[in-house]
Order: sequence, then C-alpha cells, then structure tokens
Amino acid sequence: MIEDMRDIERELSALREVNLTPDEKRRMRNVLRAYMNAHPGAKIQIQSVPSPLSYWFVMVSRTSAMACAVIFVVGSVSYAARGSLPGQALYPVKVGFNEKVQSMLTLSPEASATLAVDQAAQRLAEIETLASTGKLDSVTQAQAEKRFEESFAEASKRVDTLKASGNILMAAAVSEDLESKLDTHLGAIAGIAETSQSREAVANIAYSVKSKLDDAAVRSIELGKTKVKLADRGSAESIVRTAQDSAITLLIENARDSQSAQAENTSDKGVATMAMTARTMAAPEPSAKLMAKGASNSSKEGVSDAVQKLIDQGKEKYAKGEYADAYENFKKAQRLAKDDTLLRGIAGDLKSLADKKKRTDEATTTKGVKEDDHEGDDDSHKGSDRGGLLRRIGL
Amino acid sequence: MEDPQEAFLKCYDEQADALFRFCTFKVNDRELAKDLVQDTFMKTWEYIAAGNKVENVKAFLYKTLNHAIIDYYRRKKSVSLESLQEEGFDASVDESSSIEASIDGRRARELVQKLPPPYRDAVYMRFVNELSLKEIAEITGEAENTIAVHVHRGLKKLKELYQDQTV
Repeated sequence: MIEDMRDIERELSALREVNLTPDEKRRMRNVLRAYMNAHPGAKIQIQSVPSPLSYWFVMVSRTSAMACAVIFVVGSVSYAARGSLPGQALYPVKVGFNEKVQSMLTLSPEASATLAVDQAAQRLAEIETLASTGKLDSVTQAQAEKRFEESFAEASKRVDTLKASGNILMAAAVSEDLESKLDTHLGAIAGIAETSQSREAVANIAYSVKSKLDDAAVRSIELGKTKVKLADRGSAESIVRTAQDSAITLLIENARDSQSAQAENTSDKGVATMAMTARTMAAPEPSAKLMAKGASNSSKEGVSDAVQKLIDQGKEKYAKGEYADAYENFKKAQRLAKDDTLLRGIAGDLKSLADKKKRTDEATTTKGVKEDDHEGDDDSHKGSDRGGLLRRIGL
Repeated sequence: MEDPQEAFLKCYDEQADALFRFCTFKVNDRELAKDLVQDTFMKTWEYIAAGNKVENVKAFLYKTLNHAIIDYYRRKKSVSLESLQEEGFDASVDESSSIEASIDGRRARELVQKLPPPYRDAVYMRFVNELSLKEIAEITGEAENTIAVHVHRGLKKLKELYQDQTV
C-alpha cells in the first residue's frame, strides 16, 4: 500500500514539470510590468513579511519613552529604506541594516540559505527597476553590480555550508532555486536591454549576471548528480527522466519560437501552418528533432544540434544505468537551450563585451609579462576565464 | 515596506508557473492558459492598485484565475470541458509542455482527470501545486474539513484507479 502511494506521489510529481519556458515567463513579466507602470495606483496594500523591527517594538514596549522614541526613529528610517534603490540615500540602510537584521534573526542554515537567495534575487529586481525606469547609469551600475556580486557570493557560501553539513537535498534545492531566479531575472534584464536607452550599462550588468548564472548552474549540476547518486533506483530514474523531459521541452520550445518568428517575418503560410501544428501537436522525439532542425536558421542550428546531441548522449547513459552522468547531460542540454532563448536579443552586445574584455585582458597580460612574469600568469588565467565564459554562453 | 510593484513582480516570479500549471490542467490549452494567467495577474494588480486590501495574494490569484476559467467556458457556452472529455476529445492537449509525451506525466494526468470534479481539483491543488488545505479552502470557498475529506477520498479513488491500471 505504501509502495502504491509512493508510486502515485511520484506520478503526480511528474505533473509539476509543466512550466512556462523562461522566455514565456520573461515576456509575460514584461507585459505585466508595463501594465503596472500604466496603472500605478495610489493606495496599495500587499501583505508582505513583517519587518524584523516589529519584534523589537514588542520587546521595548514597556521601557522608557526615550528608548521608544529612538527605536521609532530608527524604525521609521528602516521602514522608509525598504523600497530604496542603489544610488539612493537610504539604500545602505536597506542593505546594511534591514537585511542584516533579517539575516541575524534567521537561525537555521536552511532558512539562511533561502534568505540569501532571496536577497540576491532582490538585488536583481532592483537592477530591473533601475533599468526599466532609465535610472541605470555608470555609477548606479557599478553599485548595483557590486551589491549583486556580494549577495551572490553569500548565497553560494550558504549553499556550500549546507553541502558541507551533509544536507545535499536542501543544498541542491536551494542551488536550483538560485539558478532559476537568476534565469528569470536575467531574462527580464535582457528584455529591458533591447529597448533601454542605457543599453550598454544594462548589457554590462547582464554580462556579470550571466557569469554568475554559469557558476550557479555548475554548482546545481554537481549537487544534482550527488542527489541522483544518493537516491534509490526508482527515485533516481524519476529525477533523470524529469531532467530529460525538461531538456526536450526547451528544445521544442526554441524550435517553435524560431518557427513563429520565421512565419511572422516571411508571412509564409506554409511555415505559419507548421508553427501552428507545432503548438498543438504531441511531440515525440523524432518530431522534436525534425522541428528543431527545420526551424533552425544557420546560427541556431549549431545550438539545436548541440542540445540534441547532449540529450542523445544522456539517453545512452540512462540506458546503461549511468544515471548521474545522464542527469548531467540533460541539465547541460537545458542550460544550453535556456541560454539560447535568454540571450537572443542582446547576444551581440554580450559578444562585443566579451571580446572587448578579452582584448583588455590580453593587453594587460602582455604588459604584465614584460613587467613581471608572475603577475602575467594571473592575468592570462583571467583572460582564459573570459574566453571560457564566451564559450559557455554559446557565442 | 517593499515597493508594491516589486513585491507584486516577486509574487509573479513565485506563482506564475504554478498558476500556469493549474490553468493548463483545467483548460488543456497552453496558449489559452498563458492568456488567462496573464489576465489574472493584471486584474489582481488592478484590484490592488485601486486601494483594495488583499490578505493572501496567492489565494486571491487562484480565485481570480478560477473565475477567469469559468468565464471563459461561459463565453463558450456550447463547449464544456467535461462534455468534451466525456466525448473523448483531447486534441488540444499540449504534450510538449508535459514533455515528449512523458509516460508518467500523461498517465498521472489521465488518472487525476478521471476523478470526480471536487476531488480532482482538491488532489491537484494539494499534490501538484502543493497548496495547504487552508489555502485550497480559501480558494474554493469550502470549509477546510470538507477539503480534507475531498483530498482523502480523491487519493483513495486515485489509488484504486492506479491499481486497476497496473493490474
């Protein structure tokens, strides 16, 4: 009976994999943001997490009026700082006080890791607001980028702590959450970059976020592999099949987007019909392959083929019972397919940035070699990292 | 207090997939589900922006989505989901969303669809969208005890259906 229930729960969990693609989610988010900007409203009340300072108020309620007054002033400043953005006077209060207090009041490693991920996502939400309201300039960009990198480092550290304590399942879950949040926000930032007047500043941020997203993805895959290794056979198969399904869905979605774009551009009735068919048809693997190939233009063909190849290799490993390695293949295929969608609009900007940074790094390396061989080694390594990033983002 | 727009966008980031999943399950059409979910977020924002207080945004979103789905079927009076399924019509099922005709996903979906309506939604919301009994009660307007019974009976029925299929 218990086995039956486990089987049912496993089957039901497969339904949880029906999700919006990152591209769909980003587009809908952009529409919602535009709608909200057009309907700002006057008196808005959304229930949110109560300020940690509310606990302080309770604690000091019976102490002297002077103490209460001091707390009231601090609380008011803290309260006012909650919606502040990089570059604004109260922003240091928000990040250096409010969030620190919140972190101090969060005791368990699991809750601390989740909070750190939320704070990293909050940094990206701030960047989105700055970019979409035209407030992102070189100064705010530098501040926002620095804050994001700090919060990302903190979140990564928390994940590593969970891993070191042996809580692999939680570490994997938090790591995936971090990757997913970075994915969503990067999509939104890339979307804003396409129309932003400060496109260069936004693209710079996107470049930085992408590099962290790559790190997060590597960590997620490693933790996921460990999770698969620790799971019993049935659960391992279920996890790997879910990863495989998601990879194939992304491949199909990318092909479909490409087909729709082609249909719109060429007004070709045949292609439009194909795109419509793709939207409604069940898509077994051969169709997916065909659609991916048929829909690809020359630059996308390489990406679709690479994704397909990773999926095929994953299937072979799965058939041999090499579940952890199969999982790695499917997750890499997912990452590649997601990147293809995420960065479509600003891929050119990122490539230029990567080229520019690579040239700067190479120049520094050459100079460093002449001046000091050891320093030159460090710069050369940095240069190769940038090259690695370039390859990893599929450009 | 968090900037309301940011708070709402955060809410979108957290809930959009679950709402989309629930809507796809109800309407069997990915594109339509996207439209209904988008409308749901816009209507909810409009309501909040008008100065109305929302105690539980998540429950409110599900309620708004439920109304949007019912409205959609009312507009299409001649077609009801149940009647279509009774006739065996399932052409608009977007299998690509549940992945390469995923055997597990499809079978689970078919099993849950076979449950009587009150059990079906309760089981789906509880085990797929992982909502609490309290949240489901708030969304459906039923008592929490009633939902607990629906979930329990739905699960029992699901087990019977599963056993019938595996025998």
